[in-house]
Amino acid sequence: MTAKTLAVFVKEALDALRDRRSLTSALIYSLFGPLVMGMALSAVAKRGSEGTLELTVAGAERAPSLVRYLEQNGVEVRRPSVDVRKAVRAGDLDLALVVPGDYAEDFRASRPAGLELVHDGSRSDVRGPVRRVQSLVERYSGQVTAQRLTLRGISPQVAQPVRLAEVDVSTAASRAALALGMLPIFLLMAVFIGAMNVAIDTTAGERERGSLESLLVHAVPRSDLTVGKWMAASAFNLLGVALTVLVAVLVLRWGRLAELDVPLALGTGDALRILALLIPLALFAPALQMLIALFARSFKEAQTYLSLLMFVPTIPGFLFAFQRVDTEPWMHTVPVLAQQVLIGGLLRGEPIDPAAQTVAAVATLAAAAVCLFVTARLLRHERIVLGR
Amino acid sequence: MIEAQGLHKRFGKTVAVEEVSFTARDGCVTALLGPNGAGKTTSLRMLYGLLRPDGGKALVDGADAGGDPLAAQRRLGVLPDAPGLYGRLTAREHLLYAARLQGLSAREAGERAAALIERLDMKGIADRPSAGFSQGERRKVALARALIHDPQNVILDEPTNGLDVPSTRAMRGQVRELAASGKCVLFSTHILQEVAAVCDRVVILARGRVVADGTPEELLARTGEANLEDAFVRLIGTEEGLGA
Repeated sequence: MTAKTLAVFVKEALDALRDRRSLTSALIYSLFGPLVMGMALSAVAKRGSEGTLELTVAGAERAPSLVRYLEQNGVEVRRPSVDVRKAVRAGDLDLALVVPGDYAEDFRASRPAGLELVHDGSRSDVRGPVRRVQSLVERYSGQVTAQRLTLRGISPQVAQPVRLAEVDVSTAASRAALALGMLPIFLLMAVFIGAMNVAIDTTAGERERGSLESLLVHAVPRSDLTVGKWMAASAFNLLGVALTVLVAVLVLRWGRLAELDVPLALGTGDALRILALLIPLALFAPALQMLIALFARSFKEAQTYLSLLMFVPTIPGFLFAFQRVDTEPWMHTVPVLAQQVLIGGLLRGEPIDPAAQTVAAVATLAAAAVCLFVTARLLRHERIVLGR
Repeated sequence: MIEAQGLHKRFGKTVAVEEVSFTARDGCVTALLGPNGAGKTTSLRMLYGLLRPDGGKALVDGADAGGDPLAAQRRLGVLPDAPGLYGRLTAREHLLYAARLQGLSAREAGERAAALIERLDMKGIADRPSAGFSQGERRKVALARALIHDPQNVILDEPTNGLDVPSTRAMRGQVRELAASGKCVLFSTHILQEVAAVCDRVVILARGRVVADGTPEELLARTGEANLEDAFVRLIGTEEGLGA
């Protein structure tokens, strides 16, 4: 590294540290990304646990035995104060049970007594409670059937030719493990966020402010300029990525997941291994971002391109989160995909293959070098320098 | 010494500069005069190594700015069209950065920066971020930056453009002082009073070509006009672009 490279690095780092936008883009995500993930995980882990269900029943006085049955089965029955259909449509109520005026008469006469379960079918979050109420009402109905048949001297078993028992083997831990598949995506996105602003500011931003020309009149090789700027962007990125991993570990350790006894909580060793996998990628991302930003006509345009770029690495991530893909050796040579595969394996508790990790690091750093080389070449192009 | 030898430059199909030749000597102020769009900035950009000529040579003390821009740039201080300062850096930090980019050691950089802050009367703004600077202050920082490595040759692209009267006078004083100390100063302008005030030599550009080259007196004698403005109009053959 030359003294001129160092001068460029010092200047760009100083400039970026004084820029609130660069600092926030490096830090905000690191802090909030894992927190959002932690909240998502604990929500997933919590879902499906059986607690009391609040159910508004209109006309409850017409069906006292049904209400008693519901209350015995963990339902807290509430009386409505408004029109339940309107309330459900407006989203003020999740669901409501309506006992019509002729229910009691029909029930006494052993005619099918109508009940209405009012809910909004487009809301996926009330599907669980709806199913619970449905099955409670069916069980109540079955109980009444049995009583009526017994009264008439018929064995209730005659009316139940088939019985289906559901066995749900999912546990809080396994649901959390599914959601933890999202962790690599969060980490890969962090790699493309920390340096974004610095990468734009030192390329498209420099040209937009008109300082690129006065920079290029100094007797400095373009490679020194490129490397110095890249080092500053990379420093920001490494800071952001390290912070993201740290916060992720803390969230997993002290968040609700620990209470739920999720075996996947990250240890310090795993965190360091993940960081080691991410470092080459954290050096590659700013190199690619600078190259792309140099093609943009303005700061805003560069921002648009790089925001889109941020989502490209998440594509394999999303595929992997929802279905298992077998790892092929060629995957280790593709930046982003390689890290995705290796971190995914690590989270499943598989040991990291040192050869695969080396291949991934070398391929990723080589890609970074290519980006830097092209960027330095582009800084000699009149069109790029003058922004025509 | 700065030499343009038959410079050519095209942008796509537009010919910006055609067969431009002139010499700016040490100890002289040479003005590149011409209406807007005459090719002044393009010619200067070839001389300071930002654009590569399509034909001809741009030489700074014999170093080819087209073939080896860094060699030319080491002998050259440049104040481009736009000062291009970094809003979050102070005036002094700009000078230190430029010094390090030109290859000065940290100690030399500090000394040169302090000397230029003194010489250009920048003490009041030296340690303030440049975002709040006036046009004149910006131009001053950019000039100091161009002089940071004590170059033998100085190129200034419209150095007084947009400045108020005191700043303009200060800038012209600096230009004369540089030439008096033996430097080669080449600057572009479209302002005629400037030429009369500071120049030893004038090169007039119109539509990408050199239409006249000489001392202001020679130009007057050649055209038979009594003042520079009339001489200029006669030489460029039109009144277009004479806003100032």
